[in-house]
Amino acid sequence: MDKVLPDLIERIHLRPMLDSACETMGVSGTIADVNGQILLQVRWQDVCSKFHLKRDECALCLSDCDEQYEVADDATLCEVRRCQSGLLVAAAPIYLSDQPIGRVLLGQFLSSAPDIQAFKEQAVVNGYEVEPYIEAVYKVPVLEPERIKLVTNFVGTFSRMLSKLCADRSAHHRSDARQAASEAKYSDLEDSLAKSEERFRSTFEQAAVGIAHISPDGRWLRINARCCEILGYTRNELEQLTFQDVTYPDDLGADLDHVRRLEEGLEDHYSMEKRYIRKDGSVVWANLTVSVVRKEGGAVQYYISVIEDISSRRFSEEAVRKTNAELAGRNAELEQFVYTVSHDLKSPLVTIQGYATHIQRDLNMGRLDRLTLFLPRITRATERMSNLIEDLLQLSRVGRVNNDPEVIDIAFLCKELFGTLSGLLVSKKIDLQIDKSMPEAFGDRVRIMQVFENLITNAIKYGCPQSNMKIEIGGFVDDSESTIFFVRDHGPGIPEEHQQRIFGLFQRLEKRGEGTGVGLAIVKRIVEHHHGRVWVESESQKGSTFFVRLPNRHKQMSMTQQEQRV
Amino acid sequence: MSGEAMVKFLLVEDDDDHAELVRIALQDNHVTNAVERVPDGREAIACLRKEGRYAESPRPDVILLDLKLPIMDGHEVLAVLKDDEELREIPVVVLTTSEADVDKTRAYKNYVNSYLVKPVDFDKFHDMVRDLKLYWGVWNQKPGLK
Repeated sequence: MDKVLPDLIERIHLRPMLDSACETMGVSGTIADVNGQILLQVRWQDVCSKFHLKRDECALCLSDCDEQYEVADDATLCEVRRCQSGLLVAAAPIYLSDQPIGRVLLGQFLSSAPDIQAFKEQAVVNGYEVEPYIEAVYKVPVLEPERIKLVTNFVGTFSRMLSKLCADRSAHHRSDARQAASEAKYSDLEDSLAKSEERFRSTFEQAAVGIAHISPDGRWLRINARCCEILGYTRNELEQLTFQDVTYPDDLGADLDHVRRLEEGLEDHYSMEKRYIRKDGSVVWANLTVSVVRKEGGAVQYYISVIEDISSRRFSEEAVRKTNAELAGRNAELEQFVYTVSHDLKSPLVTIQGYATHIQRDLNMGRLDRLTLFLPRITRATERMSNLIEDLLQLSRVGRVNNDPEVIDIAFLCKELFGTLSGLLVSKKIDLQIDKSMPEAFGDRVRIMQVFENLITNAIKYGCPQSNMKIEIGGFVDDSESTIFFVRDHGPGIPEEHQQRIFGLFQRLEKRGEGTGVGLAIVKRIVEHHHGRVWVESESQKGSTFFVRLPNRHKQMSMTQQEQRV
Repeated sequence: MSGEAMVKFLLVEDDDDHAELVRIALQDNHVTNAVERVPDGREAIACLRKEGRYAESPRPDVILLDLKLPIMDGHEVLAVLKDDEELREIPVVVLTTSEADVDKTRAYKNYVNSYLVKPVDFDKFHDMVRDLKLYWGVWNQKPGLK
């Protein structure tokens, strides 16, 4: 409140107005606050500014003006008083909310010619230099009662006006306060906006899904951390690229189609599963949802892409698909197997039944000459059937019946086989050369033995058409991960076009009776079960070498673990 | 009955015992010297094209073809025959133990003339061979004969 009056004086430039009023009326003007502090002073008489004011008691004429000269008007409360120094002053209070906050004073005049003698005495009493003082006293205007009346009127009107202005000003102040309050409110709003923006930013930044703003031409405008993580690029790197740059080429067409539809307003959002190429070149599957933010005219301002990494789901789906494909393959194999088995098992039955019937008829007719011809055929057919059943059982055990893997001394294992195969080896006088320095293998001993038994048997049967031929068995370390073993014969060799086929089930290169067509299929299945590979190299008339590559212990274990995880 | 004896068979069969059974059954039905036998598909093609040691082999009237053959199986032989301008006219009878539909379908797609499954029961086998001889030797007419 105490600021209102000085503010007002400052604001409405009272000085020139009061100055011209005082000039017109030939008086001085003063506005003081309720404590007597002078806020504005114009046209003061030398007698006051140079002499009276130097006296403490005359610093403010109004406090000293206790002799009331004239009360001009009840309404204006303007009164004229004579100050201690003998000058007259018209004064009126300025009110605000019924409280006086200051005064308007127009004065430093006389109503009649000065009493020079009294002023001289006053100069002496107060220690003024008499001559200049009296000179100043002479300059004090002497006002007619009419003029005094004008002055009091002015003072009354002026003080009322100031009161009114102060009231307005105060109201304004209050409204300023209100404005300040509303400004505070606005700042609160700004604050909460900032907070909300901060919340948005942190949601954007820390979201568990990738979020990006994409320009209409595909540039990455704003990218969150997860998005960078999914795509394997830093923010800066992505900002140099477009989404087209990092989209898997096969998926780009569908994506661009959607974008076109968004742009044309045919869709307001879309979702698709697509692949991105990460910085390291790997492929990541994502579920992409895109919506659009438009400018006022409807043109696209930017797209909002939400990118969710679904690689693990897609890859497990992929794994399921692969397993299904494998299963389908196995089923086809099984079908082939069942049908071939039925064929191959039926075949000896036709033989047995046929010759048995013939023998029966011959016996009925008392004919015995063909008996020695027919009976061995029956025996051979039952042997064949028995071999086939045995081989099929062996084949079915691969991967189904497993023994704990162990380190196997292949040279020793081959010597053990010598016992089983000695009949064949001796009758054909075969020179079996086993390299004693060959490395060890790791695997299921019983199955690995089957591998070598089959390979050596084949070498004897098909690789040694005459007596006195040589079969070599050896092995060497291939690389840090695996060892290669081989069984080599010096027989007729296998034509290239059949080299793949012989590992298939029931594939024979010789006419029926020589083999079941299962042996190499067993070999292949056992070796593959050990994560290895089997193949043949052969040259016509020079012989064949069957190679078996087996991963070492460490590699096999890690591959088996991997398999189990899948 | 001299016309019956005239039918010449080419038996493509890798199983010696089965070949012998067919031969005996034909013998029993008075077809003796008109059967030539080859043990696999490649030999069959060579024989029909009179290659190498088959230069003197006569052109058969009917081919009896097993399906499970080493080196080149019956289906492959059938495909080669039916693709050969010279040989496709010769009727091919598949004679197999396989009753599988895949085999029948594949054989028919390759224009097989007849598909027979070897019966395990030898009496039936015998009857079947007799009927074969009767059908192809007596009833069936081929062009060029008056």
